[in-house]
Amino acid sequence: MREPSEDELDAWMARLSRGERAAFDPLFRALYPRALRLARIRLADDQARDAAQSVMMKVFARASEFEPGKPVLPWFYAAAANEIQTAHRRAAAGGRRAVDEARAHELPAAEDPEGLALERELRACLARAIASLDEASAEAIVCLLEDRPLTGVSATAFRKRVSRAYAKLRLLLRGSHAK
Amino acid sequence: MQSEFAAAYRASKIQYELGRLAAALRHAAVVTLGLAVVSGAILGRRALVWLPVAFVVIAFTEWRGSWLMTGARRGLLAGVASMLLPLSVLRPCCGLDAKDMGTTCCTMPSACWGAGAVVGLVMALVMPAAPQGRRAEAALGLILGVTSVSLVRCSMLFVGEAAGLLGGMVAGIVASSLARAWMARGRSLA
Repeated sequence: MREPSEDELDAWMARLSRGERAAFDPLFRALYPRALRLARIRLADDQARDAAQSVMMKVFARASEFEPGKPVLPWFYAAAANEIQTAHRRAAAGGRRAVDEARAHELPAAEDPEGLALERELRACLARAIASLDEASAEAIVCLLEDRPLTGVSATAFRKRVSRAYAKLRLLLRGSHAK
Repeated sequence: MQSEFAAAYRASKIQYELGRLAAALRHAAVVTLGLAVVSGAILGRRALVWLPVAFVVIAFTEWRGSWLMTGARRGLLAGVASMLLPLSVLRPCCGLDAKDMGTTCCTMPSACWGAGAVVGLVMALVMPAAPQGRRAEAALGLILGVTSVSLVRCSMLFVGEAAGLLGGMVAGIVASSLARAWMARGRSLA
């Protein structure tokens, strides 16, 4: 089956937010594998399945609040990351072993097309969010990601700038939909 | 895997409906509160009796969403506008002397139907341009929206007059919707 484009996902979510139930099925089929893939990065398989279901329930419970015209994937991934982080913390507190932390930060292998697609989408969401930041914040985040110093700025000022940029990024990714 | 997918699908669908219902109830509460203020100020306390009907209609149409919701929103706006009409327009059959004496004045109920139909035809101008196949849904929403607010207005009229006015409005909206659909069909055939 053909993978739906981002524009199609945005259009389905916009329709669903207006109450058109016909958009639920294709949207669910497109988003559930993404939630599962993302959850498997940080959680063991059985926990990942529970977390993916939890992500989908949260996302669809708030579907009516989605603002048509906005991209759905950054909103979806922000909600998913939040939920998966909570599940990860719960699993750690319960003494259950989640996925090996070292493995969790590995980049997907070239023979893992699903992992690469996820990586690409996450990077695109981040790039879009960084692009909508003010110039100083965007510059600070880019320097941090590329692990290079920001010229003409002291280390303390750089840390403060990064901290402010992070706060703005969190707001941008969560949008007005998040709690 | 399949059973997990199905379980997640069902749970998400239920969450979606519950989320919609919660949002619809919030929206209906805010709109009804606004309606209470407007109708209380214009029509007096008697009009507030019908507000629960408006609340239920708004909550239902917002929950169902789509063209029913769009139609109902327009209908509500049109209904609020109709609240501003002077009673003499809605009560063309009423003799001035009878009104002054506070007695029943509806000596010519057909005039109420006529007035209602005129109001309905005017209101049909605000009918949303729904795609073919969804026009009935939009028209139903418009009727539900306008009726829920008109009921508040009609509490100031007598039962026969109110029924005539509401019936006339519904007939007016249906007639103009049919006319629009017929014209659109003619255009698409041409």
